[in-house]
Amino acid sequence: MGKTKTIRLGNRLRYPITIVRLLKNPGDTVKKQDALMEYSFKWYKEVGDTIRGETWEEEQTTYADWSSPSDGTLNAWSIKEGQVIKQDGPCVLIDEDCSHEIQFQGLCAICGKDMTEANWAAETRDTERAPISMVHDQTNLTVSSTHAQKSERELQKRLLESRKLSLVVDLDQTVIQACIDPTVGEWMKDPTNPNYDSVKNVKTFQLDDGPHAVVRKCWYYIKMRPGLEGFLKRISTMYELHVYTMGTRAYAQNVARVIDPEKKLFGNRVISRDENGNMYSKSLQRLFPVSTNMVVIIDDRSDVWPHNRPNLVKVTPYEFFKGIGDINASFLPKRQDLLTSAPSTNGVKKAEKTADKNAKAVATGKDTDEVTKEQLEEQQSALEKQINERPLQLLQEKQDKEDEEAEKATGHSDDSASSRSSSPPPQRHKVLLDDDRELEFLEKHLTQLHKAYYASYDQKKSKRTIGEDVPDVGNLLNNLKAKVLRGHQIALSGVLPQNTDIYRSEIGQQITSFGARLRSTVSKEVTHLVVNTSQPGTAKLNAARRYPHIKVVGLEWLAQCFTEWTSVDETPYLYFKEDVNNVGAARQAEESSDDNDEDMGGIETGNTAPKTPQQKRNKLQIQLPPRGDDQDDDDADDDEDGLLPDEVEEGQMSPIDGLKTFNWGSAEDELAEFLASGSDDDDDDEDMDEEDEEDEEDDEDFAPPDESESSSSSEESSASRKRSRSRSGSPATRKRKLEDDVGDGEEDGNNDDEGEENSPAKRMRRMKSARGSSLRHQYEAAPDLPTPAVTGDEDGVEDKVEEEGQNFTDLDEEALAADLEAEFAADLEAEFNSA
Amino acid sequence: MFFLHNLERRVLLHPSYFGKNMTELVTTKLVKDVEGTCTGDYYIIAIMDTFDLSEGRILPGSGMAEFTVGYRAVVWRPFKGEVVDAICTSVNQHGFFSNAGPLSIFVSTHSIPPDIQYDANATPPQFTNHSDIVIEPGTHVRIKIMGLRTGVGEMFAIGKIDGDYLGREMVWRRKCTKAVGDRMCLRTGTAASATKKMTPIGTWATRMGLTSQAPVSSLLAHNITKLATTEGCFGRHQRELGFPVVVSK
Repeated sequence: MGKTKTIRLGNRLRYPITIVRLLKNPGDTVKKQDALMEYSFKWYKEVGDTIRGETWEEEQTTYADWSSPSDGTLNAWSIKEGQVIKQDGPCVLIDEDCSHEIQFQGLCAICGKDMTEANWAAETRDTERAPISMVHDQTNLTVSSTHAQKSERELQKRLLESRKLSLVVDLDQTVIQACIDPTVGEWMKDPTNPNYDSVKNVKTFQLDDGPHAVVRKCWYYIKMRPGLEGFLKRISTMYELHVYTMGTRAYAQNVARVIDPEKKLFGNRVISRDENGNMYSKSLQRLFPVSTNMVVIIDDRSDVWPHNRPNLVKVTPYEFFKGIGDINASFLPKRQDLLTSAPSTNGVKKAEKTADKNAKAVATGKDTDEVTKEQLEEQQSALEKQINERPLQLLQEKQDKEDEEAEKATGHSDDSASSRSSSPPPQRHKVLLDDDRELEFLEKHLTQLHKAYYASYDQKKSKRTIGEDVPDVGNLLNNLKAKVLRGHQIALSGVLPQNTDIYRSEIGQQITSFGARLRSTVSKEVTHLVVNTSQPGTAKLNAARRYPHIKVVGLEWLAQCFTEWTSVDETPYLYFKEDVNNVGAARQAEESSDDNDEDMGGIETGNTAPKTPQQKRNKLQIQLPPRGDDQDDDDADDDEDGLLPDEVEEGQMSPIDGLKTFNWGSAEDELAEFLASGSDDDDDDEDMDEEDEEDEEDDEDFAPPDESESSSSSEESSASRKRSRSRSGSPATRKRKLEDDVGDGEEDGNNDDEGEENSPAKRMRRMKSARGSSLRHQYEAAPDLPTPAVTGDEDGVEDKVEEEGQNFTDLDEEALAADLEAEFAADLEAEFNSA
Repeated sequence: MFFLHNLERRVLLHPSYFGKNMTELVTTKLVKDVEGTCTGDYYIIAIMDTFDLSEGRILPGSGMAEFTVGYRAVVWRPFKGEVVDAICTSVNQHGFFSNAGPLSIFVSTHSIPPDIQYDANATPPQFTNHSDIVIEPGTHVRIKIMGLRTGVGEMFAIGKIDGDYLGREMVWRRKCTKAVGDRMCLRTGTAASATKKMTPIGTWATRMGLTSQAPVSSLLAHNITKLATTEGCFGRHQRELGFPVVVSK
């Protein structure tokens, strides 16, 4: 038990000190607060008459004892008598009686001493020796880091011996869905109900938690995900299972009893929010404080695992009781998922409110307990609401109503909905469908992962003896996932709100984690455009239409890829159905869209109401380059070409990351230099152009981050700028562009043949150097303009470039302008629609 | 250790209860308020009887009547070094938790005999020596208290089972029969004398006419079963609190 501990002098002493005498010798038993040695220090004391100001400092020498901060046997001194010590350092070795490595409620579990006693002899409290809580069902049992390491090594050894990994399983909406709507209970008892078959194997238990009368003794209805029993049984041969839920302890245990009646799968490895210590996030470190190399998580939400994303296998949320969601997630922010059936606005509001409250609590330093209490009450009221309002019954009633209406073509819609007991129509459709297949895929993935892990382990082992260095399952998981969509370049349309950073968004992170590259705009390289079918961003769709190889698919395709971990066949998910049959459809669409361009003038580009694909398509074609009232578009384009990054650089990092290390000082210098050179020397254009080109080359390294920064951070202000500028833009410019657009179809065709270097983005960059010179012209022409306006007013600049015609007016540039035009029109369109 | 302890408490009675059976009401309220609570130093297990029921005094302002009641209660004060019978509640890799009545005791792996090892693969996980000893939730264990800490209204303890006659109860019994037979010595706690106000339960037991000689917890169990028949409430109560009941043969 005894452990040698090096004890330092501590930084509370008045250094330099001189060791006067060592009071104890090696081998002596020492107790806490025993004087171990005597030391002296010198200090200055102010003496004299303080009133008259006649004071001087006199040196004083003081002797003091140094006491032992812990019990044990003195092993050896690191200091000698007479030594002068300038600063804190090791002083003595003590073999401690007990190192207090396990503590329970402030008691050392090894020696039984009270750890909470504060002592002046020790610099730190004894409770700090065991800071880690790593037991599932208790928070008040803590261990030291060395002990945690030891017990984790044992766990690792045991797992390796039985060739298993650890699997942390979330409950709600991952393996089960819970609901407290009493309607379920009624349906279960009523064989005539259309949902009777579906709810037949719903398990129930009664929980008595909560002070509120309604929630007290309420019944919980637990629906297991189809195939759960077999899944757990087979998975438990490869994984040691843990339950980690945001529900209460009682809830967690009851659910564990439902899905694992013999306690064979989970044993006592159940952790709930009562022991989690955090209402908003889960952490693997709570259970595996040292190493998470052998831990896999399955959860339906990734945002609750902020620090353990690499280990997470995200599962499609299980939604059996429609619209109920996760009854234990009231604390958590609203989920951002691919395909959740839209949660009730109520829930959203609540989540926002919760978030607000958290923010408030942080801001005001309000007692977190209080907030937690409020939230608990909120959850209670949410549960109460579910019991009282019976959302499922409403849903079924609605379904019945629809059925009825469908049956009798005449809208006869009052009776059955209003009276619950009225006899149901003969053919009622059920609300609850049990058609989930997620677990099959999940089992496949987990098996694959397990195999990969032990393959890599065996390989490592055969090479050399493995110490504590086992393969990291997080890396393997990443590798497995990265293969799935490798080679795909995906752009999104109508999926995310406009001013979100797509690289940081949930869906963006998922796409990149599956090995695809995420594109913010539609360009030649893009292979798939993922659209939100219910609310398509029409602009990017049109852009995608220019490239026949781009597959326009619904979000469901992406979701299916994420579920199956393969690049599934796009055919059933294609957005334009006719594309499936007609190979040349895209090309034709392109031509026809060109035709349409000319009659664009007066046509309103309104909001798209749900229509058939064919209708939609026609609509889309007409919308291509909006004119007339939508004058903002031009200018927005010009703006955005400077602001948005064209592609993600290697490593799939958000371009903003580059900014952290960006040297702003040098940029400013360059700008100053540039401006200065423009004002004093403007005649020899050629020289300047060359110079600028050089500058531009330097700039290219940091250009994308620069642009993205302004686009994301000052989105609103840029938007407003756009508008104001649009009004000031000259009609001549617009007309010029219109002409460009008309001719853009053919040029586009040419561009398709060119290599990747000629992508609009690259060409854009090349053109920037030209801009530099033209900018100077502009500057010269209007010397009274304030500087910011010069840099911002690219509208006029571009015009100038084109008018000049000497430097860059060739075919290439025209095509480029057209391309960009299309891209930006697309973006703007998306913005309009989502707004 | 259990003591008969004389205590005093002020009981408030709402005016609507004023009437003939007021004393009865006061006693009922006292029992309801006090039984099963922890004062920090000891647990009040059961109230034996009340005496010295004072006259009620109406409190100005509220109209409530205040009675000062003297009562005699069986209290349990755990001591460092005391041996108690407990029921294991949960097992983990660092040790196991157990409840001796209302007291939660943790026994760490350092205080478990080295031959009894943690077995995580068993369902449920358990401490076992792979022959006759299995400690899993629900097992009766005999624990010696090593350390105690009191909080507000709660107590925590650290225990050990590496020592003679400690550990799994079944084993203890067999060892006991071998060693001392049926006649076991009565342990009289030294700590008892420290709190002079309290009457050690041993003395109390003798006064009650119970003469059996047994280790203190076994004696308790004996007393408790006797009490269950003689006094009624006590047996029920201690069962509610979760003490293991051993019916002596």
